[in-house]
Amino acid sequence: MNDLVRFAFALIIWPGMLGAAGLGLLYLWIARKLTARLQGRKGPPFYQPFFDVVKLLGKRTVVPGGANRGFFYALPVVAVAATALGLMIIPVPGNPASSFAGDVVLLLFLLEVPVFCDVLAGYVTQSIYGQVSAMREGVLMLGYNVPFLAAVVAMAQHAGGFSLAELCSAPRGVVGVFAAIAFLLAIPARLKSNPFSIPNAEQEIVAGAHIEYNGAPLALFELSHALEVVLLIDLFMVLFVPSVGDPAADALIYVAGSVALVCAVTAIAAMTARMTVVRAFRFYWVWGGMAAAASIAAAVVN
Amino acid sequence: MKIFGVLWRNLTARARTRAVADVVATPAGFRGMIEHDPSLCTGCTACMQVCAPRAISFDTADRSSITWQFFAGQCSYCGLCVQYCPTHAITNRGKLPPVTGDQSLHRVAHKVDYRLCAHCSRPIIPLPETLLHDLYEGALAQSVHDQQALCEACRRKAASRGLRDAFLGPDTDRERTTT
Repeated sequence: MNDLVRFAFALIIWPGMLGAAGLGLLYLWIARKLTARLQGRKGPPFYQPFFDVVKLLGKRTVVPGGANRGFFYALPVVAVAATALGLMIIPVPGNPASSFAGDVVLLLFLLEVPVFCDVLAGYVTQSIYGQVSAMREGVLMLGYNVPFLAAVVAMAQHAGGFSLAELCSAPRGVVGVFAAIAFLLAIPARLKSNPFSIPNAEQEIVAGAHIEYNGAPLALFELSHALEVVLLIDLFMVLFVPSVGDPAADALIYVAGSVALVCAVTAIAAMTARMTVVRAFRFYWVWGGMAAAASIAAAVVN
Repeated sequence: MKIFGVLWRNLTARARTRAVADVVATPAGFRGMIEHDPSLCTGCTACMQVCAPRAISFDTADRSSITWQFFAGQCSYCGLCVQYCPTHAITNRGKLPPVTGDQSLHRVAHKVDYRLCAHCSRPIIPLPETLLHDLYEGALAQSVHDQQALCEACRRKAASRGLRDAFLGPDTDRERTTT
């Protein structure tokens, strides 16, 4: 297999589009089902998120008046493409694509693309709810990226290079513990789940940035969210859970760890109420900042 | 940290979600979906006239029958049709419409066949037997049955002939006196 075929396989099959879409929608189902059970409800069957996407794909798209058609259609496509590309380079078990120097930086950029697409979608659709959501998302992004970026940078500093392969093989040590805490702090906000479900606060601003989205573009946004969940969890597993050497055991640890993380985030979402954007911002700059400082300091000292 | 207790109780207890078929108990006096008995219906259209949401309609296109049509999706359960039906063909007994996405299950269509007038063969729908008993009380005379086999115009003629005969005697007698 030459490099092109390997990258194509990684982009389309595993861990890219198809594999991650299935896995991501399954994670979203786990989150919905667990939330429902924790709230005393029954919850949907496992195929519900798949049906939702398929149903949306079959609907006629209505572009809101005053919205730029090009932007309206391009944003969800870019969001899906960026997350799929991010998945292509993440070295999870079974990924045939090889790591290259600086792929961590590329991955960090690709992780931000769907967020930017959301912000732009909020403004493009000309809805006041979308604009409020976009503003909140922008502010929140400046908060959660403090611990998030610090965690990745600390691990890279510790490993001695911005390559995912180096990050995987480097020993985790005390840096890994601090960086993992910082990373975990950022996850609920990155996934827009409680208590940081501020940009998509449905009781306040309805569907947020996606309020005017419908049909296939909305399906693509849902898909990009599913891929984003997988990508973020993959990144956590790659950065902080060391490989044991055996491929089967690695795959098992990968799946179990991912599901555990989804369940943990869901449980936190079920037991907390939404914060205001100011409190969330302060939380990330104070507690996230502390975790970030601790992980960077540990990386520098080591 | 009371929330942990709440979450644990929710997780371990049976879900509060009800199944589709798991219908809640209806309150006393609940009217429910209307039921139509085509054997009592005379096609007078009173139900259609009083139905504000137009859930009831009649299809008169066919010359041999009239079709009573009802769509539960449009019904407001006001019960006016039940109140105004002169033959009590429409009743409500608190029955709920089926919980389904299939609209055809919410539609009812009953055909009421016409009979032909015994005299002029015009299509008619005679009054139901139960209503005749209410009107005439006791056993029905043959004359009542004879009248019901006639259309409105023929019945009127028969009635006026009867009245005239009562005053002037049967036709045969009158002919004899005039000649």
